[in-house]
Amino acid sequence: MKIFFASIGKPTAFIARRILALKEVNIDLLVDWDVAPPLLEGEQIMEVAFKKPSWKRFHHLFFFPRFFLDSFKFLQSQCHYSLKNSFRKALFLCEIAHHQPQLVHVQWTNAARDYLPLQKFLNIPVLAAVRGTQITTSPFISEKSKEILDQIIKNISNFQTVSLDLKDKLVKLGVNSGKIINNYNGVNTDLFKNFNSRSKHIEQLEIIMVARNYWSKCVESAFFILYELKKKQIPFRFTWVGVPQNDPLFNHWMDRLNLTDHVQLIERLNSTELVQRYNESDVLLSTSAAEGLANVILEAMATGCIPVVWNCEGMNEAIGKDGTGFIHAFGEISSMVTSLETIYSNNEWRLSSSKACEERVVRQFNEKIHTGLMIQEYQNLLMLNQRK
Amino acid sequence: MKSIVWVVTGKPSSFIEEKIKGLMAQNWEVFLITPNDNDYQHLHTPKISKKEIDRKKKSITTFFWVLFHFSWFLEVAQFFRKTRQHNRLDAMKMAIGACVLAQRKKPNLIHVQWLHETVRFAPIAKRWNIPLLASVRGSQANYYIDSTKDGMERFLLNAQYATHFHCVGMEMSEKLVSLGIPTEKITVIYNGLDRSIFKPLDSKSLDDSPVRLLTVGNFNPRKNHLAALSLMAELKKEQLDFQWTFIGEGHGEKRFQYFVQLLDLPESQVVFLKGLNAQQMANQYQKHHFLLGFSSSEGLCNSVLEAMACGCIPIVFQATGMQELIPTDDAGTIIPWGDVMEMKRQMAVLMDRKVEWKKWSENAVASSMNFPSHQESTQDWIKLYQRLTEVQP
Repeated sequence: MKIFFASIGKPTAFIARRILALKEVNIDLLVDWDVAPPLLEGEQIMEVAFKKPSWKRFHHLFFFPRFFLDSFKFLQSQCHYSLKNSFRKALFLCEIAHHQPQLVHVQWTNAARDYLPLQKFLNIPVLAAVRGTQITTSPFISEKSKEILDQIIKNISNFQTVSLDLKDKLVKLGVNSGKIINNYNGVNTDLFKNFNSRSKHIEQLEIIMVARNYWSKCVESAFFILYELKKKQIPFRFTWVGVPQNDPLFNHWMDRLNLTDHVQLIERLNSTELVQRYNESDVLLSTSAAEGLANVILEAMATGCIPVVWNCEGMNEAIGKDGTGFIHAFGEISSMVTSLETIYSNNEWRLSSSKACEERVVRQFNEKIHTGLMIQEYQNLLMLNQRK
Repeated sequence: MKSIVWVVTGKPSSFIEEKIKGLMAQNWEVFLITPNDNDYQHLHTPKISKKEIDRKKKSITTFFWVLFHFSWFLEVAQFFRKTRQHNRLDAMKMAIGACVLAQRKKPNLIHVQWLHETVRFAPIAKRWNIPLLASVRGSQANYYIDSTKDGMERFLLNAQYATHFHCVGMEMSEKLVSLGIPTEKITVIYNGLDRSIFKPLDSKSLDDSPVRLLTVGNFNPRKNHLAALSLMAELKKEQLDFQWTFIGEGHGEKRFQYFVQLLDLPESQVVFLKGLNAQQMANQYQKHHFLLGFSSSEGLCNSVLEAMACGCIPIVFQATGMQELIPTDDAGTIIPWGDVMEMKRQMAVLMDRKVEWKKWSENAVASSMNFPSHQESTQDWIKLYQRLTEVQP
């Protein structure tokens, strides 16, 4: 089996681990990424990167002249790319065609339309990964994104979602549910685990938030929640991962709400440091308005850190009704504060919830299991395509 | 002979427009420097837009003007290079822009409506030895100075080149003093209110269900619409019957609408309006019971003043100027900044006491009468311009 992993961009650790896992089961891989991840250094992986063109790419044009012309015309007329861009992309498609992949798995929904010529003229199935913003926020705020999404929904042969919520959204947008594979990213439970036994009594509530300052994360709202928590005189410390310590805007908010003594800003942590932080925290707070299925929630839960979140895509799948955290209606501050108060004041509940979180992730979101399931899905797709 | 004033404007506003009309009526010659070609076109006063300046930079007249005034051009380029840390090319482009303006007839005064433009006009004011008056807006003195990396530095740099400062309220004036600007260099002139438009409706009462809420302001992070969103979620949780109108535009508009649709409220419950003229704004204030304000910074919030004049009760987060606008606690409510739950509590109290609402609404109208009308404000401007042009810097 030969799969082309397209439009990876800068690979996350998860993508790198998945590529490695696919290699281990002897799946041939072609990848298009901006930079090779450290985890895959020294691995023999065939790279066909769009952003790294070479003169060699031109000779593929002579082997696939008809395909090149068809693709060029398609990209120009259907995707409205400029002459230069259509030419570059069509040439890139010829190079991919030369490697004869049996399946294209595009890691970025909107990029999937660039690979439509492969599906249309060479009959290679294209699987578009749907991870969140591209079907949630982007089409809502941008007409262009909506247009691209409509085109993809109409034409792409298959979709892979990272949560059932996203699958439902796609179905509502008009995709036949038979064309959608839901496959969770899962969590590397060898790395994200609870290695401290959690204290029976806590002096203060340790809260962590892992989010950069992106509009859909509604980060300012976290400050309103903390302000209310402070008013209720619940002792807490808040660690914010993803924001530089000297960020003037965040410091301005903290000053105004008199929260400076309670909040620590940390720009970046590596995965080992992050696991350590999760282990030291009682609660993971999320004010996000749009997700696919937030990996930070699963990773925190794997370490026994209890999620308290506003509802958005994937939350109901990650957090059960089995005491594994709290999901509240989007925007509500009072409910979030009540949950934090419960976790602080009820040690017994906190400890049992923490345990339940760990168990839930190990049971339902183990990365290895979901990688295995994805391999099966690849095989099914290829079988179906061969039958056609 | 007519006195000439250059007014460097930002986005078109009714206050500036009224002032310009007033000045023209008093025989002042007003030359406008606007961001866009079409701004204030209907006023029929000489003007140049920033785009036109860019076009004129390439003209043959400017080329020869620069040639004949080369030493001044070099001096200005060096000034921009030093003060604005431009590279050589950008500094020269800025200096050519100054040369385009310097070709005009000498004015008696330059008034920049936005402090951060001051340094741009400093070489011209110096060349002609005329006063450079800078209006300081709320966001500049209260927000950007500590919420952006170079905010304070930019403020101080620009403040250094203004000969006089204008601000829209007493609290702003105190803030400027605390930032090191001498009291004698500051003049407070309120924006003024068009009382023929902003006036109350007699028939409004809180008995009309649902309670009608209004928020006015562009959708940018400074206006803090996420607090409005949380308040909306809390009101929904309490099952309160409300209808909320947002007036404003900006890059965050669609984003905020995305958040609102997540609350799953009936479409008619939250309404978005934009591009309203003064009369349409007044109609909205008259129609609504409460004006809710969440802004992080203000000078003296116009929408609060206009709403009060129309009998719409302001419930706002603490910001500069709010205490001046709402001096008593029976004409509106000022909530500690960011305290969404307290805002909800205060609203619930007022909504429960329907008779008191009427009284508060009347008090709000009475408080708004303490502020000058458009005409009075324009007179203050003329006095200030006269005073500044009599005393050369």
